[in-house]
Amino acid sequence: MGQYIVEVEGLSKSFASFEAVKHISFQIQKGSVYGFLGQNGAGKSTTMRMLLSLIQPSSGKISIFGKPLKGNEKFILSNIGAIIEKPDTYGYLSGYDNLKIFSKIFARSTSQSALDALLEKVGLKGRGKDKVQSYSQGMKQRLGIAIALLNDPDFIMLDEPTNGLDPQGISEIRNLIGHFSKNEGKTILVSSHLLNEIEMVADSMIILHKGEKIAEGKVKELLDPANTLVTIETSQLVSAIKFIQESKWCSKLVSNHALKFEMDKAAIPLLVQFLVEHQIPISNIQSNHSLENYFLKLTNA
Amino acid sequence: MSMLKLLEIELYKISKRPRTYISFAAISAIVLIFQFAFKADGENYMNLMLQGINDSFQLDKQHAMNGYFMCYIILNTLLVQVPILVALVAGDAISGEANMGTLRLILTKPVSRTEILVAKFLASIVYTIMLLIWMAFFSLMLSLWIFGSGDMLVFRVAGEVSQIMQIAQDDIVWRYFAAFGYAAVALTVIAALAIFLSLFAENSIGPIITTVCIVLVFTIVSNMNIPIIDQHVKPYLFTSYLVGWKGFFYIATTQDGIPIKGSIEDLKSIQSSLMILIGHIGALILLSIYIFKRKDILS
Repeated sequence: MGQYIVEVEGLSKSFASFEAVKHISFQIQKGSVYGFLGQNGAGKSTTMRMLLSLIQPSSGKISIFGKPLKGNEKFILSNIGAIIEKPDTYGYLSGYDNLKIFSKIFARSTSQSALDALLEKVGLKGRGKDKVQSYSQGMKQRLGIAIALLNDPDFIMLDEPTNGLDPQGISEIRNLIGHFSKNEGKTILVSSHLLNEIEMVADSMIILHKGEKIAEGKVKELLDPANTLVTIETSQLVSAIKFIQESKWCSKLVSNHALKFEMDKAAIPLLVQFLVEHQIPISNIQSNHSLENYFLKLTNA
Repeated sequence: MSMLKLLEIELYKISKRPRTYISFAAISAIVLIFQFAFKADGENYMNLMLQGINDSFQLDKQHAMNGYFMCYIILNTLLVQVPILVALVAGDAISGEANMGTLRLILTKPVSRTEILVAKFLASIVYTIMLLIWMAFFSLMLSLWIFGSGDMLVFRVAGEVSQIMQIAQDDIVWRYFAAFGYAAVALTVIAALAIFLSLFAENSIGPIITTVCIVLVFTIVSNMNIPIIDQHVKPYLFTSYLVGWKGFFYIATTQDGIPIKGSIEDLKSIQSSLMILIGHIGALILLSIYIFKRKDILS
């Protein structure tokens, strides 16, 4: 298997004349949390569905656990836990019954204590006997994760796992992802249309836009603080730009009509000090990563 | 993953859905209404049926209206409606899972699509058989208890000729077993058709209604007595063979017109009808597997 759990090469998928995924390639390192970032319709779910054999690729190669997906689906899927889009389960059955059904598919133990332990792990202790249709969205999400964990998978795929959750639910899912990665050594693929979501949980990421890969790499490198975009609001813009153009900060300025700088985040206090010394009043300072800016531009396009 | 486990899962899911029991309740209600109506006013019905032959054929009407006769009348009516009840569950097999979003969840587990489809088909067969057993209990056992037993009269209209046949009491039960067995095969065609149609939809209403429409239209055409349709259309409609179970009650007679105990007038016709129905089931399931294996799951 080597160091990669997933190896994808030249993967494409077309629906009639619409190209949903265009020749993308990536690799997911064992034990890492890998992020799929892109706005809705970017091709994230389609790619994840192809990794799970739900959709047949138009072209390209997929290898998981060192084996080609085609022809090894049973072996590969027996080591994967996944939630694609919504965590849909049988609403007319209880949480326990849902777990029992899927544990039978894996021929795993269905003892009450094993299921209790799993429900406790995902924060559903004491709710196993309730029908799923009475669960909140967050509880359904957690039950979905419990089902995904039934086979103790080496590789977990979570498609937009925080969608529709309240802040507490989002935080709990984030903690679960961290727990599985750090404490249980699982490899996780997580998708989101929110950069900060991916930034908080992933080690590496790929950015998809309209089915194409537009960036890929380590999250720390892609979100390098040295490339922070700083925007300063002031009532004396003309004077401020004049002072900046005559100073060492000139090279960092990215616009002559606004106080926008691309610079190291650590240097922001020095810039503020410089402006204050020149009696430039500052009403607001905003900083974001240049990648975020790039991503937002794409999203707004 | 054994097929038995998958079947067990499918049956468990069917047993937990309220809609499953609608069919059982509907059958019970219809049969009870029939039995009540016949108990209250059965003689008038018999008079109506025997209108043309009353003068030439002496009959103890009270004795003729026994449990076996009642069951035959009920089956004649119900076996037209039961396909709708079978479609209610079978049409939901794939499309219902797609609608709930559980289809993609199942397919991300290490089970082949063929296994899933076959398990769902087998579960539909089990459901159909359960429905028939329920129907047999209510329409035969309960009728025998209410109306008693005796020789059975069978009214038959073949073209311009009306015919009444009498089957001896000790020659009836095996015919009912055979008829219910045949009906199970016939209804399995409906289940296979509904499962096939459910592959193309993401909610169960579409396949259920489409199945019912196909059965209704084909049944109407199958009942048309127009020579060109008899010759060129009816042989190709599965609905032409759905009522083949009646053949078990058409008893062969001697040249003098005396019924031959244990005989069937046209066994070959029943056998060929059964083969055609089984062929339909095989073709529909193989086609369903072929399509399902290649289907992109977008639900």
